[in-house]
Amino acid sequence: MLIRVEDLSYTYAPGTPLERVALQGVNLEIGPGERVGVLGPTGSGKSTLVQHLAGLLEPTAGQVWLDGVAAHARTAAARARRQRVGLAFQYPEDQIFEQTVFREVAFGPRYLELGAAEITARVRWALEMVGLDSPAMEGRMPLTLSGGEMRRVALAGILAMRPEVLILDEPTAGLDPRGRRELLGRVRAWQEQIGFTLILVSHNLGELARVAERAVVLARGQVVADGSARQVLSDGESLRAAGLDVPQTVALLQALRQAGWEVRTDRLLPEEAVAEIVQAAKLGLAKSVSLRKPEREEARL
Amino acid sequence: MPPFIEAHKLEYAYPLEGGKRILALRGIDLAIEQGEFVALVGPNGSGKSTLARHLNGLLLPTAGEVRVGGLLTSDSRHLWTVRQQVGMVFQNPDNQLVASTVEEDVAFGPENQALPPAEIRRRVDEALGVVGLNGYRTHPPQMLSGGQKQLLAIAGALASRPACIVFDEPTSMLDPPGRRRVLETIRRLNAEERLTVVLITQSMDEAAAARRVLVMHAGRIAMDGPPVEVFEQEEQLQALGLDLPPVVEIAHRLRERGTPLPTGLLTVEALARALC
Amino acid sequence: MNLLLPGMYVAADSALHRLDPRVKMGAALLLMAVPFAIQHLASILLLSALVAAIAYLSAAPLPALARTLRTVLWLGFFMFVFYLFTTPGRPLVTVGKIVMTWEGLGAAATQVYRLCLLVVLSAILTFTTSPAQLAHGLEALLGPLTRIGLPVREFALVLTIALRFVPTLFEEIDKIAKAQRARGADPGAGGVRQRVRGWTSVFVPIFISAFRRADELATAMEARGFRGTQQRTRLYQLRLTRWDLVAALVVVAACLAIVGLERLR
Repeated sequence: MLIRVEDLSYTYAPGTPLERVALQGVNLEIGPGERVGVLGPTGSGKSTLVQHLAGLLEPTAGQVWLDGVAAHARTAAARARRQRVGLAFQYPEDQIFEQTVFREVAFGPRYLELGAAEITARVRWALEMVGLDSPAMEGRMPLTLSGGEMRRVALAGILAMRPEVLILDEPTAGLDPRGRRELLGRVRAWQEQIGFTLILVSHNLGELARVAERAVVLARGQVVADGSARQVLSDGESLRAAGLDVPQTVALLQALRQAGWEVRTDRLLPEEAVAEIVQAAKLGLAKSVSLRKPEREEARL
Repeated sequence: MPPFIEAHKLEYAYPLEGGKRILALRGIDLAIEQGEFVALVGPNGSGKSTLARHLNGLLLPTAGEVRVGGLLTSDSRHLWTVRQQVGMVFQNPDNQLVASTVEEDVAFGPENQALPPAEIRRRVDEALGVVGLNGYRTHPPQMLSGGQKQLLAIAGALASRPACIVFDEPTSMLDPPGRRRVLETIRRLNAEERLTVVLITQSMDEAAAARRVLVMHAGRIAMDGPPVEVFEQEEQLQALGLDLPPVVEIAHRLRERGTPLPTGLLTVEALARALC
Repeated sequence: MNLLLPGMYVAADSALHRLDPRVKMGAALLLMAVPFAIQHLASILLLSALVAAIAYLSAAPLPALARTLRTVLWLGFFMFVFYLFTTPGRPLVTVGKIVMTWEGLGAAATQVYRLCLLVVLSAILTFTTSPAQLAHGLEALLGPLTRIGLPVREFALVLTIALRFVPTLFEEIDKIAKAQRARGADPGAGGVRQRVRGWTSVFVPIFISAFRRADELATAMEARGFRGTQQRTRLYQLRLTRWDLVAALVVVAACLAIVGLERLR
């Protein structure tokens, strides 16, 4: 599915004292199968943006096109496209309400007007994808599961709709390090296996570095950076606009570069940084110059 | 001087249906001195929150004991003193704010202590000043950002003039700017106001800022020491399902490959300096 | 935060904002009762002038007040029609068996007027009095009832906490509704069963979350030393000033005058 965001603007509560411009003239194009990270501080408009992509909000100005059809339109064509976009909000386990895991996961597919056999097949497949395919799981009450398991049930509910575009808003929020790693690994595996477009909203640069190939930075309702993840996540200026710092790996390489080392600074992951440093040392590109500021400033004079 | 908070052979069991019990804390021995900055880390289910709730008497031991300032938390005569001495800030910013305006919420603690109104006013002003929310006195809580709500919660805890505040994952629902502000406030409270701080966190980066790290696993304290020492035990931390801050991880890998690096490198600057 | 409840409190510094909430609530109740005791146009005009003066003193912008009337637009319309056609009297317009009477016109206008006055007065009250102050005022006014064993302070605390969470709850409802819509639930479409499922999918999670919230909040309150409302002191002390007394006297005198005038005719 081709997503095209054209001059999108959105204002909350127009004409009231609570009026707030959330998005201003956003232009964006996301092609099928892309893995895009979206970052920005609270209030930057990222939640508003992804809600528009799912057709949940009507633009104040501009438009969101899903395969050439306006996302929010009330036509059957628009509805069909919205059904192919899956959106998981933060803490998706908050939306669980059914009595059994099976019925919870089946909730979305049931709105797709599929036959009972197809629904069952999808539910089972989705539960397998999230690693909850034990025989007893289907009949269990979701609220008796652990937090991490409930989250996986909620995500299964969205996977079962077989979206062509999967939007995840902070999917690892509140999980412990192991839980985060596992979930992210699964998300990555799903994307590789199924090939959907993945849009990941996150503050965690380390996670984005592992999953996204492209990164979009929002600040105050506007796009301040859009490019390859490597490029954007090592660009201090646009990250600071989002209230973020460059990842520690990038900061380290930048510090070494300032000291005269000839290293690339766009290595985002620890293992990449290590490889870069080791290679620089081998090729004699490393310099043992002191990092003490006063001396260097004197040298420049 | 005896430690401010002590736990001896602390055990806590949750009752389950059918008469069974889950042992959430399996014999904890702990001593925290006045003015310490302790980070408490561990995977979900390791018992961190349960332990934290024993420090102010929200939970009482099913075996063993916990003392705050020498007083037993299980002694009902001392419970309110314990709760005044040890404040607590919780993870969800919204679910700990009770009042319709900022100043009224800060006043909640002192109001519970039945202090005279003039004294309540003094405490509210003081606490708001310390966290920097003076300009928001009459604002309703929902107009605050997540980070500001946590600062408000901190002010609310400070208004009771505790000797210690326990922070239960205070930043996990905040964005990076909010996180920074809250952590900076916590650090300042410990460094300048000499507040004893117990910080529960999932982030090893945050733990690195503390002077002592307690690693919990399955209801026990598995590791206890300064961050530098704890982070050296990379294999053990990984076995416990915990991460290392990227800088520490890079330093480890480089050392594995033969680069001579000293231990104890926790920041980018330190590592860069060591490499050059 | 997106929802602007008509008549919601706006922090400003008008004459009315500075008055004691007890006086404002008492005056509002009194003023709401007066229209039910008057019928003549002269009395109605006097009362309206009084309310207009109060609205002026509250610094509430006219468009905002007008918007609050919009909330009872349909109710007012149906009331008007109802009284217009069902009041016996001299016929004004006759359409077959349906008769509109002069008396009906008068009655309809009066009832709608009373409705509007109620709405405008409560809007002015909530505009100039924060939820916290309302709760304080209520607690103070009902205070004496603790002597007969009623849990007034507890009720006031419950009220304060509920008021504080109303916006938060609205935000959450919005979020869950959007989440379920994203899964295909369309609250407006489909047969009865589908719609019920749609509503259930929003309200069950909200209920569950409300209980969890209450539990967390209770824990936080305990941690902050809450041990019942008995001996609690308060940051805010309600104190009556001369302006409060003046305002109370003026309102009482004006109401007596209006009703007296009515009786004299």
